[in-house]
Amino acid sequence: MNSTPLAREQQRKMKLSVPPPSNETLRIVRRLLRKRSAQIGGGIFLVLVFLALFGPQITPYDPFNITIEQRLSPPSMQHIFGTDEQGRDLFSRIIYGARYALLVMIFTTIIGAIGGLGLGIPSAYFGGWADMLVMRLMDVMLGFPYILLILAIVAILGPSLTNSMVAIGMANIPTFARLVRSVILVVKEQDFITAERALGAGPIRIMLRNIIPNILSPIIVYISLTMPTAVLAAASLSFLGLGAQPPLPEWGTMMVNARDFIVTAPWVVLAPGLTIFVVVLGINLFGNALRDVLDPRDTTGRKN
Amino acid sequence: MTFLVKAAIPSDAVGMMFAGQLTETESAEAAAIIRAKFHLDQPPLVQFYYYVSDILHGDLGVSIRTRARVIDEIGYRYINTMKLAFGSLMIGILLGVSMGIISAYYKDSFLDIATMTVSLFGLSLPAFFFGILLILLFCVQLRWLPVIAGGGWKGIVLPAANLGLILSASIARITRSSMLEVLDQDYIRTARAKGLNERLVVFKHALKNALLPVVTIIGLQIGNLLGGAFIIENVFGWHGIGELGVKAIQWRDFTITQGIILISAATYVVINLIVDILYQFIDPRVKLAK
Repeated sequence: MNSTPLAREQQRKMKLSVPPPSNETLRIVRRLLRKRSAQIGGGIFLVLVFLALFGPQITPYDPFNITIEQRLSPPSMQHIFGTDEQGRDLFSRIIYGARYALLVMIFTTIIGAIGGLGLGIPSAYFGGWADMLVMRLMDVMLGFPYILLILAIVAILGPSLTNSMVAIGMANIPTFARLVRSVILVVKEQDFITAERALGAGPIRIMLRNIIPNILSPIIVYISLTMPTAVLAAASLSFLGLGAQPPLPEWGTMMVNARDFIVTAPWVVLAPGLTIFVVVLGINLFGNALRDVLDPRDTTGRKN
Repeated sequence: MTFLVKAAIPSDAVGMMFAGQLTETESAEAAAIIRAKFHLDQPPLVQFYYYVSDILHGDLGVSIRTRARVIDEIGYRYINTMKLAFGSLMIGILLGVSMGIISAYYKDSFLDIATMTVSLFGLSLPAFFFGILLILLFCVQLRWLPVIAGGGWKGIVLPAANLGLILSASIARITRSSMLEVLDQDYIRTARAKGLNERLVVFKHALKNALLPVVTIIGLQIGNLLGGAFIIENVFGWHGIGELGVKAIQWRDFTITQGIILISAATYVVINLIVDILYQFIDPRVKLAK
């Protein structure tokens, strides 16, 4: 339905970037780093990765340690973000939460990418009834609104952090597969693929060596779009009690009981909520910058 | 399109049946009775047959937990959710489209950058957190509105504002880029050259042409709106299908879950069908095939 404008857009892009020389990549990275939004977004992302990797070394308290006497104490020098209803240090819990956020991003992207590429590439490359079958299946999945599809999969698998990640990843597959397919349909008709085939290259070799490198840039852009939604969806599921389960210091889970304390202890809600906001904002900023750089057609007036 | 509805729903229903089967293992005898009643002891294909034939008869079954008919459990809640969705949609469209127009018209000005920054914030803010902030401000600090929404008219204000504001963020972005493209076209220059006044140019000539992608996005965003309603209803305690749906998943009440997912997906497909038909009126170039 909406594959034609996308395909046309990709075609334009392909003409500009096929085949990508390596100094082209360098130039893209350099242009990206000059953008303010990429700097801010990238910075936030790096902080997140740092916290995820070195969390245990920098947290002042054990995030699972319950000290009832200190429950709901407001932010102070001892507890920068205050403590929650069981006296656990919020700052430490949020730092541990970075791991889950990163895990969600990586895991859902991998599932979406494997599923999307695994279905999209053969579908576009071979066409015929396989293409038909795969695309109708994707249409069925797209018949559900995104969150609803995730909820449906969670309902089947049962609520847990892993299952919520699987569900979000699976919900990303149909769009991913469609994108991959539409891009490949354009690439595979190009002369250099015909040349490869004339040289005797088999389908697998062509896919790995010629097609995948050429569809990378739209895929990277797409991933930058799905990562923030994945983090938001995971947090929302946990918040509803359908994702990560309570003792885990996942940011959404930390807000489950929050409603009961918004009057007496608003920091219990504000700390994880603002953290999610900043992280998602960071990825969005970085993704926007990436899109501007990778898609030369869309120069929205701002200096590149 | 209708093929899609038929195809989409049963395929998922089969999966849901499995979900019921897996979780009923706790109490064996009770489970066996329930299973027989819900045909869960039959092979999947037979279950599938029962399910499809029931649906075709307009029967969604009974809740395994409360024994009430699914349709009764869902019915009034569905209306509540639709009220909420409609309210948010109005807020989202009004705010989003006007933000987009302003932003595109005063491109690169302070106003444009401010609007786009706000909309980026809107896209990054978790919906449920935004809801909590609204409660904190309007119910706790200002004491204007009740904390628990229930089903009354006063209760709808905050959840609808919540969903609507978030919706307006993406609508504003698409309106802006679509308006920018249209304002660059030759016929706009012609209209201006003719000496038409700016308001006429912007609203009649440009907006009319810029609306098509906006309508498409709105159609697709309704899916997000329904999904968002699932989350927001739980924040505000609004008695809609989302509130029930989440509970049903936790209770493993698969008939209710099934019913809710079925009805939401059907709503989504029907709305997009309506959007497709609307194209004809917005853009006379579009003719529906067949």
